[in-house]
Amino acid sequence: MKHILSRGAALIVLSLSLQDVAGAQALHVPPIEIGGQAGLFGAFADGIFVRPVAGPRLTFNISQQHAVELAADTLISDGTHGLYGFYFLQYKHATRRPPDWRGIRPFVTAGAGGYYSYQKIPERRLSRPDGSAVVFPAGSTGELSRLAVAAFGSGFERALNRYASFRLEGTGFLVIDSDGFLGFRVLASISVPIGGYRGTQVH
Amino acid sequence: MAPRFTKRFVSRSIGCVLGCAGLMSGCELENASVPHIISGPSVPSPVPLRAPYVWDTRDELVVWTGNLVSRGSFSIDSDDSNGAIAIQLAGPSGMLVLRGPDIDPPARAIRAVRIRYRWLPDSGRTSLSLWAAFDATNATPPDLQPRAFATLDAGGGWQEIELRQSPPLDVRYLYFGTYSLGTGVLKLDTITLVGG
Repeated sequence: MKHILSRGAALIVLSLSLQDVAGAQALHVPPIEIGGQAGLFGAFADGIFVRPVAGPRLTFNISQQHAVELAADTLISDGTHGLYGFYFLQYKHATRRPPDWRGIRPFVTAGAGGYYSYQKIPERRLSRPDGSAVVFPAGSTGELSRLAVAAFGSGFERALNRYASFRLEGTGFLVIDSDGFLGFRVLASISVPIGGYRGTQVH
Repeated sequence: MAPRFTKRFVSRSIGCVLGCAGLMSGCELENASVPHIISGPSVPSPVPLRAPYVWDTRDELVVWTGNLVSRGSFSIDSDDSNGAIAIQLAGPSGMLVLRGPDIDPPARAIRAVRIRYRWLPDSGRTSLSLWAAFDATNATPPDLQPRAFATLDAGGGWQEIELRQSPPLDVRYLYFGTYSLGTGVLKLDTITLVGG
């Protein structure tokens, strides 16, 4: 047990020292990051409609400053039997690479999106005047719209450690549909790099 | 470009993005099973009909009024016919379900039900909206009971009218109901299924 504890302490010291080393270096992002985000979604349509949202995000880093992202924001349900939300396919451009590992990386985004819905339909029973009844079994229905949203946003991100970073962003979007409306989303999220972040020496 | 961003990775990323864009052209999914039907009470027909699919005599018409399904204020009136169902309609508070006997085997290719009737409203000459629902083996969708409608004119004499529906149905039984708000007496002297 003593042997294990001493090894664990050594690993913690080593990892802290590695972070210190990395702190003097620029952040190097891996090809793929996954994230979870939460925040507020707002729409301007016959008044203002604001709902909390949450959902996953997948980031493909094409280079250290350019990325393509797929995100899904699900509106937090008010007790209905379904999921409703928006998806976004967006280009992300980090406007600068900070010289410090822990530095803030501002970015802008531009993309398109759409909406989706998934609804569970409980069993329904329809009684008829002749005493018979029709039973509609439980089922589900879903819809993924075509691209019908234009979105632009900005934000910043900051590495927390080798395995996670924090991100804050705001997006304005326009739904280009028969019932078009303007909206916004403000999100805070955590990103987890597949393979971890690395520090690279800035020359 | 950093070592991890190889050409292979970039091409895969582009492929993935194009794939996502393709998927996002929109789609709908539905996972619903076929509805099933719980049958209501059966109405056997103990009286052989004098003519196929024609209910005319007192004994034949009693089967319509004296069963577990029919609801309403019924009597059999023999004043001016060989027997007619007299239905006292009490306006919106009243309910009418007049269910016919089971037809076994089903009556094939039925297009309409013809009735010989008198509609005697309590006041004025308000017409009466009557519907007939057909329980059929070939209804589409199977959970649907197609309905036919007719507006019955008020008047002292017997009149005939057909409640038509399309396409032809193989009918197991039918029943009548009404949306009428009026009060009065509806007399049905003859009920006939009309085929092809």
